[in-house]
Amino acid sequence: MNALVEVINLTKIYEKKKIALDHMNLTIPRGKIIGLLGPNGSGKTTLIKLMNGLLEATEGEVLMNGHRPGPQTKNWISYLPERTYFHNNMRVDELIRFFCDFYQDFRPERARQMLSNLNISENAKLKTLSKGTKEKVQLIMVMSREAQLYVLDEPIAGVDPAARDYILRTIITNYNENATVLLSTHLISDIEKVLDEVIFIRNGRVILQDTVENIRECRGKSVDAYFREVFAC
Amino acid sequence: MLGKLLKHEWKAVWKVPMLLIAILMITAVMAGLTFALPIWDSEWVGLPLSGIMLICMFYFAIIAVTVGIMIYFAVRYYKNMFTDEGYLTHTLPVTARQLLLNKTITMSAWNLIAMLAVVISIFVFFAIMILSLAPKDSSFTRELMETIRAWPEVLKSPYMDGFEGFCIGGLLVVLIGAFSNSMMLIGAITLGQMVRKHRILGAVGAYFGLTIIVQIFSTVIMIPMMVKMMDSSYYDSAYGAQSPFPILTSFYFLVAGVSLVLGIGLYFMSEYLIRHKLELE
Repeated sequence: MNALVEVINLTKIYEKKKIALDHMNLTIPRGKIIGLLGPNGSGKTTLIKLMNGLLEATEGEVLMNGHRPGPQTKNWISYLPERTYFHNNMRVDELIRFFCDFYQDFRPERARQMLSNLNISENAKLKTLSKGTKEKVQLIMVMSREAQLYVLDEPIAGVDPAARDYILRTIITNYNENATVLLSTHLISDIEKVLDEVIFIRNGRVILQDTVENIRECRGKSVDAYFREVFAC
Repeated sequence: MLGKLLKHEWKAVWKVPMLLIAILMITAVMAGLTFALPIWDSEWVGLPLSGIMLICMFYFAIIAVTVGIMIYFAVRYYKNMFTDEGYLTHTLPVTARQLLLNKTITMSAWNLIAMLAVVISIFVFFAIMILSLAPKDSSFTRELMETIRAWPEVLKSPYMDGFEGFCIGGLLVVLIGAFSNSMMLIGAITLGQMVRKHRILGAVGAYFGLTIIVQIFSTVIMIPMMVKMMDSSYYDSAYGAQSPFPILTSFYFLVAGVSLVLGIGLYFMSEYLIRHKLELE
C-alpha cells in the first residue's frame, strides 16, 4: 500500500457558510517531499488541521494508513503549525523531556545536535527567545521525530534567508526515506529545489497534483513560474 | 499516557498555587500575632489600624487562594486547550478523555488543597489569637484539656446523635464540591468555545448561565427538604432534645448528590465537545 494519506470527499464549511474545502479528494504517497501550494484562503491550513484532528470535517474523511485522526495517527504525524505553540514558560530542555515522554519516535540526541548547531541554549526559556529562534526550536522538535509524515505549515515564513537554508537542509537530512514531508508555503522559489511533488489548491479543491520533474518537462517552466501563471490575479 | 500528562501538568502548575498558599499562611501567622502585640490599647490610632490592615490582608489572602487558584486553572485550561498552545495539546498521541481527565484531576486536587489550606490558615490564625489572648497561667491549658477530655461524653448526648454521618456528609460535600466546582469552570469554558468569534465572552456567559441553572435546579430540589425543616413536628422534636444532625446529614447528602450529577454531566458534555466539536483558530 503506497498511499500514506487518503483524503476522501473532504468538505469543511465554517460559520457563515464559508466553504474552506469543497469535496476534496487527494492521495499522499510515501517517501516524497510534497509542496502544498495555493493562494491565501485556498484551504491549505484547513486541510492540514483536519489531517491533525484539530478540526471536525463537515463531510468526508481523512485516513492515514486507513485510520481516522486520533491518538494512533498522532503518533505517526509530526506537525509544525504556522504559529508559536509551545508554552512560553518552558525551557528548551523541558521541551525535549516533554517530547521524549510523549513521542516514542523522538530522538533527543538529534534535537540537541541541531540546537547546538544553531547556538540555542538548552537552558533558555522560550519566552526569552526571539520569534525566529522560537520557530527554529519548534522545527527542531518536529524534525527530531522519526515520523511517517511531517506536516510543516509555513516553516520558513518567519525566518531570515540564511536560516531558511538551514531549515531546508534540516528537513532534507532529517526525514527517513519512507516518510513523507508535506510542506505548505508561499515561498515556492525557496523550497522548489527540495520538492518531489506539488499539490495546487484553489477554493478548497485540488487543481493539480504532479511531480516537479513533470511540470518542468511538460510545461517548460519552474514550479514558481507555473504557480504564478495558474494563480495569476 | 494519563500518568505522563499528570506528571507534566503538575510540574507546570504547582508554583503559582503554592506561592499563594505560602502567602496565605504567612498572613495568617502575622494576623494572629497582632493579638500578641500591645497595639490594640495604643493611644496612637496608627497601631491598631496596622493590626486591622494585617487581618484584612489575611482575609484577602483567603480570597486570593480560593478564587485566585481557580481563575489560574481556568485560564490555563483555556490557553492549553483552545489557543495556540492547543496545537501541542491536541496533537499529542492521547485521547480526549485523557486530556480532560488530566485537567479535571489536577484542577480538582488543587481546589481541594486550596480549601484545606484555607481551613488550616483559619485554624492557625485562631490558635495564635487564642494563645495570645489566653491567660498566661496554666488555667487555660487545663481548661482546654478538660474540654478535649469531655468530648467523648458530649458525643454520647442525644443532641449529637448522627454526628458521624453529618461529618461524612460534610466531607463528601467538600470532596465532590472540589470536583463539581472544577467542572463548572471546565464545562463553561468548553461550552464557550462554541461561540467561535467570541470564545472568552462565550465562556463567561456559559459560566453565569450554568450557575443560574444550577441555582434554580438546586432550589427546586431543596424545597421538600426546607419544608420538612420548617415542619412544626421537626422543630418540636428539635427543641425536645433531639439531634439536628440527621436532617442536616440528609441535606449534605442531597447537596453532594446534586453536585456529583452536575459534575459528571458537565464532564461528559465537555468530553463530547472536545471530541466532536473542536475547532482551533
